[in-house]
Amino acid sequence: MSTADQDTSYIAESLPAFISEAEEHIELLEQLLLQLEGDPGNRELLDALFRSAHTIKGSAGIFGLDPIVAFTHHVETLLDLMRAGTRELTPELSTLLLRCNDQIRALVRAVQGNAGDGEESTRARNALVEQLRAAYGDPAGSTTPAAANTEAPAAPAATDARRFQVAVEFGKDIFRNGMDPLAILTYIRGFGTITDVECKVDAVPPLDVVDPESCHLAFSFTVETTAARAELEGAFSFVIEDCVLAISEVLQPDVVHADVGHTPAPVAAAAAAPGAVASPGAAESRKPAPQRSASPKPGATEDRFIRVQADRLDHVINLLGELVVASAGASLLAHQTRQGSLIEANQLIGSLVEEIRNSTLQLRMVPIGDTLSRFRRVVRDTAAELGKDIALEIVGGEAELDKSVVERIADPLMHLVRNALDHGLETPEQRLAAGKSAQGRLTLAARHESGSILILIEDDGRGIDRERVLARAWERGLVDRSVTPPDPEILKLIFEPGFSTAEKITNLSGRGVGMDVVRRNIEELRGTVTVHSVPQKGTRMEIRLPLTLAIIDGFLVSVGTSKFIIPLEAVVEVIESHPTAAGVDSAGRHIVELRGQVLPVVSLRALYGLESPAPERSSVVVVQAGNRRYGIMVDGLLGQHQTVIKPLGQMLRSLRGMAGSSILGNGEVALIFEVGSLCQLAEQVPSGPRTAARPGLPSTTPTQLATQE
Amino acid sequence: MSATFVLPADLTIVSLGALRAPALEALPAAANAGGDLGSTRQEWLVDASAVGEVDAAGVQFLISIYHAAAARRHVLRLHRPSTRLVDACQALGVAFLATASDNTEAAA
Repeated sequence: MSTADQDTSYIAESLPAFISEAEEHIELLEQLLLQLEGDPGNRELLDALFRSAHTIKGSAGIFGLDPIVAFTHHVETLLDLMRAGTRELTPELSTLLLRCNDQIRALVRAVQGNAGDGEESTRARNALVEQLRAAYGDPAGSTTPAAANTEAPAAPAATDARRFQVAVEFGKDIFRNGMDPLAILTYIRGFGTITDVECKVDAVPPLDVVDPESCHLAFSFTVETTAARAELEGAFSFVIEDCVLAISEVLQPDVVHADVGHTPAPVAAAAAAPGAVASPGAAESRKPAPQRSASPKPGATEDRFIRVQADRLDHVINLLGELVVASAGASLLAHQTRQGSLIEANQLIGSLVEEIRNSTLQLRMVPIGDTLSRFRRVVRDTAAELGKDIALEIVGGEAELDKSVVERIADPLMHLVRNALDHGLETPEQRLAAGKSAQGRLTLAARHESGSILILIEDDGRGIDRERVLARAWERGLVDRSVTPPDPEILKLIFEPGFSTAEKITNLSGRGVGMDVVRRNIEELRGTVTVHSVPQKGTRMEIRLPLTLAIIDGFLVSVGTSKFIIPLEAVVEVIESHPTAAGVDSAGRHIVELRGQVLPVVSLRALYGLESPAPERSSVVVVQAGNRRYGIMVDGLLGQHQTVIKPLGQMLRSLRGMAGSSILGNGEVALIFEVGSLCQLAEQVPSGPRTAARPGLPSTTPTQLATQE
Repeated sequence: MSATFVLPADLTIVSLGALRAPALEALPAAANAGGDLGSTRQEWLVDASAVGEVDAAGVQFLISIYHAAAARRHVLRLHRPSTRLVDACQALGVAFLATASDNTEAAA
């Protein structure tokens, strides 16, 4: 394979990793900018901002993505001046940088989509470059950080400041790889004071023979800093494969630390004697071994992450699903043989499979906070556009859920947030007139609850106008004009297709599309969305989602010959029941009394019209949905079951209360309940005389039952 | 004294490939060597006032020009170097290249 072919192959293989990493840095840039708005002088934030831009530019250079490198270079220049304190982050500058970040995102997405650079995009980018140029301008008369090079060594910034001698020879290809030694030295300046910078000018060939795109630069300098040696090394992390680096600490002036054993001796000597500028010949004769082979990589103990392609992980999880089913099958066969040792061996395999399952699924868990944080920008820009003053609060961002769920919930969340901004929250004038504070509040919260994740979008706006909702429902024929549904039912109407109460169509929402799509998207994730609203007080949207879409712990039950699985996290207890025909409606709904509390119960036999004789004794599985409990009446309890979730086929997709299906160890198919929607079916208690069936006590927990199995 | 060569606004890796040929063309012819080598060098004035963007590759390019001029018994002198260029040269330890005063002899 030729070198060119190898390069092409490398780029094709590594580009997805670049795109993924760049997107993370773009998100980080946005969050940092938004944080900086509240704390414009925060040095740590400014440094992190510069590092992110620098990383994007450097990585893009490796792949020859020149438009990204060129554009990000301008952004980096402005950020550098901000970091040096010669530019302050004004709201206008923040808006400009956010727009530039959008442009970088668009450029990265163009790479991802293998799309060319459109004329409009180029024009927009050039306009931003002009604004950036104007923003960083000609810093004439200003004291730039670079001026520090010619000054006498400054006093240490803190008593624990240390001096390091640095000598570096850059590789020939680093310019072509998009790396810029000037940016690296500028970055290092952020750690402290650089003095005695010496460039080996004689190593640079004259113009007649030089290839301007090959790097011939080598430097030595002194850094006085409180930063650790590893941090200095980190500044070279993008070029570490393509440079010769020596960093040594100076304990006293002109005395090099004994630790220099890490440093190739000739380079250390050059570093220790900054006045000595080597001749080109001398540089060649004493080219030392690369530093990376002698010294541990910077951050080797902290950066314990491996970037893995999602496809590979998905493949492992698919195989795991098959393993779970196969393990259940083997366990069943073992039980049939009645051989104790075989049963025991299978139990051990089963528990190991369960551990592997939990550990593997954990690999795909990501905090939802990253997704929620994206809305800071949406709230900021939208509020400004609408002339509203809105404070966003994010609570519980550390709650984790499956990456595939996180990715697919972003769009529905976006729509709900925009709805709250556009329709729910009022302008400052309207709020003051309503006796509220001028600033509106929007809260995005997430927490784990009963084996699910609950996401709340809550505002203190005007609430949903039930009368307008009902009037629109009548107008659209969604509800018969002679019918006035109860309040919760009216609120649910906003999720009907084509429903919109917005009097003015804006470009944010209110086009009559969206809320039905929001509900559908959430339901496709086996989730539910409910709305609560108090006039003039605000609206709360509750989205409940499963933590994972792949495998769950289930509780296997039977009705006749049919098998069903209830997610184990939702199961509270199991009670015996002797149902009577009285009080049970055609859909199998009735109520029982449980420790003095009314428990709505739904009979699966009646609900799904299962044709099998009812047993004398039934069981009611008590499940928790939100802050309420419901009962599911079944014939038999078959115990705990590791459940690999398979999607329902097209024909079964309309079944209410079902989230998917699973193949049992013996090859049978069981349907998996979506507890939230099943409980909605149980909630509608039948009208007429209510006769409570008296359950037998004591109750049996699913764990006990599983043990009895 | 007017500059015979003008550096562009973008003195970065992006523009250097195209800049090499015109820079070579603009280089002065070799001056006559006298008895005392140091005293016979002439200045070659390059207009650096328009440089707005510069990176390490751009500074390296200036060093190459400097060497090429020196080989022709000339000293490179930048005319009205922009602040960005001065800053970049200082940061990379070659401040002598961009200082407006005539100190190139000493640096050579």
